[in-house]
Amino acid sequence: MRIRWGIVLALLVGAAPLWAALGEPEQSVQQDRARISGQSRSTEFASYTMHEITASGGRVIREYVSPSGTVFGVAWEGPTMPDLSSLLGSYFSAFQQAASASTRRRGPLYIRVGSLVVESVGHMRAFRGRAYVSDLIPAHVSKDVVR
Amino acid sequence: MSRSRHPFAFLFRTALAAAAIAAGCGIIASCSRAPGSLTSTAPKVSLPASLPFGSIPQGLTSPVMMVTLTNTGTAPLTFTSTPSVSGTNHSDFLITASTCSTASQVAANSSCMVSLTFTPSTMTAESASLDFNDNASPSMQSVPLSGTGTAAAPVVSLSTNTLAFGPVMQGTTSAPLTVTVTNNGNATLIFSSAVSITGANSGDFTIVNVTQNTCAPANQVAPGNTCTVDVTFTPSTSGTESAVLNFMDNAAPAMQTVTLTGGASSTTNNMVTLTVDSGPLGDDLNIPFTSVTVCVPGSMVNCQTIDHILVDTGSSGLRILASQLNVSLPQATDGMGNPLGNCVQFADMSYAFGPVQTADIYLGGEKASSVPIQDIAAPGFASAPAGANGCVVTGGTNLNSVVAFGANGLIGVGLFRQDCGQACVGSQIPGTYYSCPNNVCSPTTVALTSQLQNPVWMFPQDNQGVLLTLPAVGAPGAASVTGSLIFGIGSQANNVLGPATVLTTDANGFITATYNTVSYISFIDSGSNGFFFLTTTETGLPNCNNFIGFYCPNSSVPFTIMNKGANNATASASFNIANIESLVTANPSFSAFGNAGGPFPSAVDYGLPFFYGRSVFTGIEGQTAGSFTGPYFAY
Repeated sequence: MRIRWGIVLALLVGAAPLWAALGEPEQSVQQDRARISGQSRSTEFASYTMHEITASGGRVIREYVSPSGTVFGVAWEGPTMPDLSSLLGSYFSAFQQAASASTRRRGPLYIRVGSLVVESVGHMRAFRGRAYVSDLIPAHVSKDVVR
Repeated sequence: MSRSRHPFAFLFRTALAAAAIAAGCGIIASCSRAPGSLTSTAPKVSLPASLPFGSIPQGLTSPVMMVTLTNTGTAPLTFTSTPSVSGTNHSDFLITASTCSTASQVAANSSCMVSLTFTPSTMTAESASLDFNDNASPSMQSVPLSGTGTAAAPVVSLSTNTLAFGPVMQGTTSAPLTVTVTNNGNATLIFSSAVSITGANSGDFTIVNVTQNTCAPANQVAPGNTCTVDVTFTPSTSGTESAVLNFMDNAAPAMQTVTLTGGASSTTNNMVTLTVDSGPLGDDLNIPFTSVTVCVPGSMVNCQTIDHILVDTGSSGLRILASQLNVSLPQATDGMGNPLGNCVQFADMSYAFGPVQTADIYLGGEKASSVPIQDIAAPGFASAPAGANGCVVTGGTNLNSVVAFGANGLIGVGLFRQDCGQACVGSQIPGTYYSCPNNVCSPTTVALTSQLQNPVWMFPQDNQGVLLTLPAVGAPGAASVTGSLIFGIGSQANNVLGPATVLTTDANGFITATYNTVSYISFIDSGSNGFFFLTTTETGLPNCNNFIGFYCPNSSVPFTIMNKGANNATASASFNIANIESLVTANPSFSAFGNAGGPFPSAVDYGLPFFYGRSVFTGIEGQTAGSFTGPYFAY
């Protein structure tokens, strides 16, 4: 396991996504990381790499990249909800359609659409969640590394 | 009403009395004895010497006066004509009722009565005569009637002659009680001095909201109009107290009084009703509500009580939908004097935005003063900012209406003192606080004291946290359930921890739940409506076909999960999961189901069903009860 540290300056741009997106190539992580003021850290594991970006107020995003260079999972923590439309990328519309189904459930969000799984839980001050695409998870890697 | 000087009130009451007399002895003959057999017998009439009405404002009608005629003779008295008024001013004296009738006799030693009023048409002394014609000797008897018309005058009627304050905790101030003064006269009522309080305990009764107090020398009350005075009670002793509220004015007599009484109690009412029902839209499931009173800070008049406020142990702060809020609360500002906006987001991606305003919050006998609250979707204020620094959660629901919210508001009585806390003091965090000059909002930092506050920790007492108690719900569910939201922990007899296990949380408000050796983050949240835990893989429970997000086993299945606090204390949680879809289908109007649950893979959320049949405490960060300091859950 090897850890790279770096301080990234804020370069706020208007329309582009804030974070790297699920299913997209690793380069998007590098592009998006420049968009938030904070500390970034990469950790390489045997079968995947985790990029962690920490923003002000305790906001943390973790992106999980397969050896083939694809983001297979994202996880988040913080006092507010992340922008899932950015994090989920092209998977967002499928997620949104499933999430908009009428339900009388009031509680944590648990959406499964095909191979996409999205979980959002927590309470004020402490939200956390994760999204992954099971088809994209590298062999011999558990979905529970996304956390 | 006994202090009422409203002439019509007297008239009405006396007319009723007269009617009762007429009904009871309507045919006087039937009340009389049999005619005497002696020929020397004769009736004899006894009457008052005169009937003075005194001074009455010109054009107004006097109270009703009665003339009683008694037959002191030995034979029945028979009227030859109906009693009548004659004389100079006969038209100003009116017979309003009479039991002295030609249709009936007045037996010996019996009486009949005539009721009269006086309505002076002049501003002079007036007189007339009430005449009786009968078989006595002489055959006519008269009663002189007199009265004086005076200048037009106000007439004071008070809404009550006593303000009785219920038990109030010694040293605290009651909610205000109101006296309404009505001018039933025909001239303007003018107060000659400010309304005052005198008497033994005058120092403990206070006329509040002087600017709202419309019974004042500066404010004349036209005929038919009213003014009001609000009084509060702050007992300084433990005994019963009393004083007198005095009105000085140009009515006659020139002073009217209201008795003030009150008593002290040794404890504050720390309990309000918690109701689980189907909510303002009729479709809520396992959602607990209470009513909250908000007032403009310092006012006890500009207040409103709002029902169906969702009680949420998973958040902090009071949020009310602007469409349900009728009082105009002062806008809070950021450090630069710009309007402050607040954003709330929930884990299900719903969100709400609105200005921060300041209110006094009353819950039972508890009061939190000058509390920042959120006025959701207030008209005229910026709508939820969107974009990278916005409040809008893309794809989520904007809770900007009762329809979207399923409640009129939400009161967060959770683990934390503020909604955001230290994070928002140090950082501009999108999705929390916004500075909104000219309705253009951008994220801002906010001091702790300017953030939305859990009102409970701001109470002067009973501020350690909350206890929610709800009765157990039977297997089929219930149409509604009523329990209590109790303030304070270990502060009164009704909120002792007793056998409850205290599970302190981590800094994020989580405890640890372990099922089959696997551990999950966990929390207890009255704002969630089920047990949300594990998945079909671990539980073996099938998901519902139509009731999305819930488990639907064929029969009820028991579970036991072990919970552990940051303090390493442990407490198990046992519950059942039943088929919510079939239960709701069987009783569509039911709102409370104790065995509802659904899947969630990476956390255990104990929602409202956990509270049924349990006493569940939520201790606030930094608040100490006995040897425990929040944040913690206890059950």
